[in-house]
Amino acid sequence: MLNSRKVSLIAVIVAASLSSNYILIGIANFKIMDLLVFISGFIFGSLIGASVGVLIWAIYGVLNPYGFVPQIWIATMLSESVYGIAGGILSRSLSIVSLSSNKTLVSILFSATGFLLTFIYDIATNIAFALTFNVPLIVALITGIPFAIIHQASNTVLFGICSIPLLTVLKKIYREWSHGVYKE
Amino acid sequence: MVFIRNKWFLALVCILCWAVAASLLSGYYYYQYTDLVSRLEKSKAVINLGIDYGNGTRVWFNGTRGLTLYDAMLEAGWRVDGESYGAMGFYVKAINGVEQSIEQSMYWTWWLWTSLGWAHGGSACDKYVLSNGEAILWYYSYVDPKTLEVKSPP
Repeated sequence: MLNSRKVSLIAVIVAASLSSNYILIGIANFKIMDLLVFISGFIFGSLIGASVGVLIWAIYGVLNPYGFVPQIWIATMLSESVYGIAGGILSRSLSIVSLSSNKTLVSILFSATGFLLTFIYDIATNIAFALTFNVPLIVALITGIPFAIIHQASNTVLFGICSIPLLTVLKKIYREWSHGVYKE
Repeated sequence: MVFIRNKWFLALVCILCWAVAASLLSGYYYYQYTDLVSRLEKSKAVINLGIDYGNGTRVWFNGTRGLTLYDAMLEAGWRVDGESYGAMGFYVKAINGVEQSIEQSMYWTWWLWTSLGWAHGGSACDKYVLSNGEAILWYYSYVDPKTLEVKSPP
């Protein structure tokens, strides 16, 4: 069951993702959103993580300066949820203790996770693009590679550097709410 | 928690990432390469290429394609021997087994057909970019060793 503080934290993550998306609109395929969806999945579990991804794209996909295409919109919503699902799955294997005690190894793991998830996301959205605009699949995949490289490289760096500090802070807040004076 | 301690697992994940990244990059560069080759293929000029052995034998290879004159010569199936002088280009010493002769002052020169007749080629064959419809003749002839004067093809 979601309490109000949990909902507010999720809302803040969604708002931060949306605002950063609009701020970074000029830089193609560089987004903090993927990391934040992953983090929300890591903290709150796969279901909420996936929902955060869907929710962000539900807004960002409609109010998008690049235009609105329903098929692409649905594909990006579903693909974005992969970050949240993976975050939830990974959190079952990593505890807050292991985050602080194995920083280097965990950073490498997060980097690799960010890279592979972005690879899956790019493949899925390129397939959706090819099917929507009737472009040969191989052409869509190959012409998307330069954008995919920027996306994957940026996420590799972001996931590797920012995941642990963000998780440490957010998990601490969340734990205090769950077990401390803030518990409702 | 267990797998984070297993460095082989992490190494495997990193290798997987590298393999994906390398495949993406190689796929992209392969695409760029094939795209460039196909664009260049389309931009090749079609010319009439001839060879005159200086003994009355003249053979024409009409409809030969190439970016440069040297490309067209190879496209026509000629055996071309020579020496590259870097930025100055490729100097042709022999075509189809007929070699230049310093003793007899016989050399290969190429000529472009114009409205005024044959005009001597002004550059090395690999530096000359072809235009559609040109007629170019390679001519094996005597070159005056003192004045470097060469007669135009008949």
